[in-house]
Amino acid sequence: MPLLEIQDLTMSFGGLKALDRVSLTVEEGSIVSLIGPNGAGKTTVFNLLSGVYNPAGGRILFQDRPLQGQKMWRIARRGIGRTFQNIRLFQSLTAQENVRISLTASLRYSVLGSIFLLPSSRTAEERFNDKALETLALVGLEDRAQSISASLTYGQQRRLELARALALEPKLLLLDEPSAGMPTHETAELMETVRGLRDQGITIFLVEHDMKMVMGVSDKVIVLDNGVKIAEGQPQEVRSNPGVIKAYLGEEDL
Amino acid sequence: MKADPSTSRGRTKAALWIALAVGLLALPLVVRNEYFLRICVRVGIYVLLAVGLNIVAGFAGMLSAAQAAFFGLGAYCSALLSLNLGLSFWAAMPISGLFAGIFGFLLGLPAIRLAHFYLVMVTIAFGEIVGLIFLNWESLTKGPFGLPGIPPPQIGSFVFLNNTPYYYTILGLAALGVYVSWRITQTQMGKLFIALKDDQLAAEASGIQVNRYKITAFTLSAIYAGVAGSFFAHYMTYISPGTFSTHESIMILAMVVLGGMGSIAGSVLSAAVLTIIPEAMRFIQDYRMMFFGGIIVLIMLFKPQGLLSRGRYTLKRETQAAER
Amino acid sequence: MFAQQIVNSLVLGSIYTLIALGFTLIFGVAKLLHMAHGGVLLMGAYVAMTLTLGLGFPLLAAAPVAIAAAIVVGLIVQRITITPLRHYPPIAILIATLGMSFFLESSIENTWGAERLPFPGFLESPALTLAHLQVSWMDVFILAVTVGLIIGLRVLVKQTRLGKAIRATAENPTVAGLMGVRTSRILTMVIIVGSALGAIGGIMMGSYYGSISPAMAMGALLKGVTAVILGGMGSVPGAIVGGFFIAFSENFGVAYVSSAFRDVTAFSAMILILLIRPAGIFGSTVLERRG
Repeated sequence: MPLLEIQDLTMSFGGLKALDRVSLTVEEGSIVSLIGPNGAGKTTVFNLLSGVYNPAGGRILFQDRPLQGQKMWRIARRGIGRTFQNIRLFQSLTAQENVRISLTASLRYSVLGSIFLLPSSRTAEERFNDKALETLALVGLEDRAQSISASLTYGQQRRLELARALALEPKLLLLDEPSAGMPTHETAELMETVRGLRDQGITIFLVEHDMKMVMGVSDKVIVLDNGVKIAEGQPQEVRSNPGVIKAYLGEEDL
Repeated sequence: MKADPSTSRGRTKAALWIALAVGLLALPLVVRNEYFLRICVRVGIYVLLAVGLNIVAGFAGMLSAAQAAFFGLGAYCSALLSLNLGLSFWAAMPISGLFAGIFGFLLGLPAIRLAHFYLVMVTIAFGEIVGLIFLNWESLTKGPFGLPGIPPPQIGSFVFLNNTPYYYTILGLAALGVYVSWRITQTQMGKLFIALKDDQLAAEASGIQVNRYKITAFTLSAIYAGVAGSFFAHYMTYISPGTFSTHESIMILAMVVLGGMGSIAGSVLSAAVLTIIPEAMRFIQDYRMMFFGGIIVLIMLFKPQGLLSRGRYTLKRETQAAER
Repeated sequence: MFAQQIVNSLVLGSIYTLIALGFTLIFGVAKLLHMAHGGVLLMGAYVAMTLTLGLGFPLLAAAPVAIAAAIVVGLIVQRITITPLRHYPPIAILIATLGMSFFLESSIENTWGAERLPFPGFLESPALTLAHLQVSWMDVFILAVTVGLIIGLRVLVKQTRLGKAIRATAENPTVAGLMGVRTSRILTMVIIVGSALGAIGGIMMGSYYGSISPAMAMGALLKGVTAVILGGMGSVPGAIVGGFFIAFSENFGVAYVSSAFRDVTAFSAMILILLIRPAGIFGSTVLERRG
């Protein structure tokens, strides 16, 4: 049973069909990349998966239970974490506080208790802080814990967003163009990080444009063009697929 | 706001806090002017209103123009409980706070789904409807005539007669309000408010039940206003619908904006300033509204973050306008 | 009686529609929360009143001056509160125009007083009297002018270059700018048209009720906004449907339920619509906060 299964996913915006009966699976413990020219519908797939929109048609099964139509926060708590194409951090909060947000669901927390400084709440706050620091350490940001997230460098912000998603203890991570805007040496680090996460048991589903990364890290590559799946398979197969090459004509990546 | 006594800066801070507390507590003993104390009581009421509104408008970023409606709901609830059921102020006050809170909850339910502009309009509409109910449900509220003869608070046989006991009461209530508000910023909930103000989508994607917290913010704000309303009713001993108008709500909103949305100290300061100035400059009295309106515009033009902005909570110039 | 209510509703609906049209135009293009629109149009009405009752001009001559005054005020409000704040989150403009509306309303109060003042009527002679039905020439005039303006607006929006530019800016200001549209000028044009429409609505409202007061600024704003919310922000047919719907529900509510309910109807309608279908009847944009 695959961890994630998408069946005939369809989505329209206004009159425009963004996705037309897209089906795919993501096996547990694998790294799958979703590629395709701009406007192919890749981020739309992610938005449907994380619950930003409800699909017009089709089914999404996560751990064999349906996902479509559920609220975003419920999907997140089921174990799907995500990062965004344009980094969406809580700009006013520190790095540590950003990560703490994701911990809300998992750590027991009483509002009234914390307002009136009940001892149980003190320990809750400490647990939030400790867990957040641990997660920051996973991405190497523990020494920037108290920095306001808006003041971090671009690369650090990307790592922070990843940490925040990791704090959900996700089984599936949706990474939307994680290498965007990164210089090549940092991409290699990123690939290592992604592999490391997979080795810890997290299934990774990525949207990427950087072909080196896609080829280097993926177990499976799925290609979308104009809302339709045009290829699927091992990285090498997909690379030499004539349909894929044609779709990318005009794009400089391949 | 923390004062760590082990550093000299911390000691100075602690000393300032103690001085402030002593000053506030000793005030009525030193200044025996009833008029002055009356202004102080009014300041206390507006501090409570503004700090409460700051929770929903400043921390959580939802502009509510209904604070005066909750103020009125608390006032009428408390007045009616005392007049019709004989409850004392001390019993009526928490009930009135909760009563207003329930309405805050009810308003929150639809309001939170709406984008800024619609949110404001709904809160204004709510305020207007509440005002119309005060005005027209004459069998209960005596309509435009208002409710006179609201009993002043009593402790045993001591009845609140001059401004001094009222002063201490509102000082205590306002201090409690400020403290609770501050505690919120120190805890996870405060961070959640900021998170959902900064980026609601990302907050939801991080597993936050956004609606739950937004409604909580509305409810808390309303409770503050309800408590203030109850106090107001037993202080003035007479209330009428005209006091709890949309105008009043907007003025309270102006206080929060002026002080820096999200800044507790800012709300306190601007509540004080905007209450004292019209009193101090009597000639401005007639132009009070113009003054408020003009102040709001000027602040937004020159310092949109408000007077005491703390970068974490306030409006930011959009650098990524296209992405929104 | 029933027929009279229908006539009254049509007339009142026209007035609300004009106000709503001005508002929806400004919102549709600028995506702006112009809380001061009510104050702007009320200024127009007060100027008209001063010119006619104070200085003795006939209403027909005073009206263009009043409209011009409203336009000027609208432009001033734009320059002061909207243009400088356009890079900040929309809350900033919301608050600033809110402050401005406060300022306008109280300047009116300080200049003319807070009480209701009489407003000149016009063409009050009956055009039609049938049993219990009375239609005055004023009613006819209001309806005719409204229809004319609606048609004119439609022609403007659908068929002139300006109209196309307005629609382009409304859909996507960035793209419109790239295609050579001077978006800031379009905004100015829209404010001009919107303020003018509002002022005409305000003057007619004054004539219809026979009086004006400063409190009408907020009232006009709320009614106008409710109409626009009902019909869909940014939609011209929506403003029309919304305006008439409110007028009808108000009149019939007052006639058959109770006069206290006049305003409650409009506000409750607004809350209901926002709960059920925030986009309004003709609206298309998703207006819920999605971050």
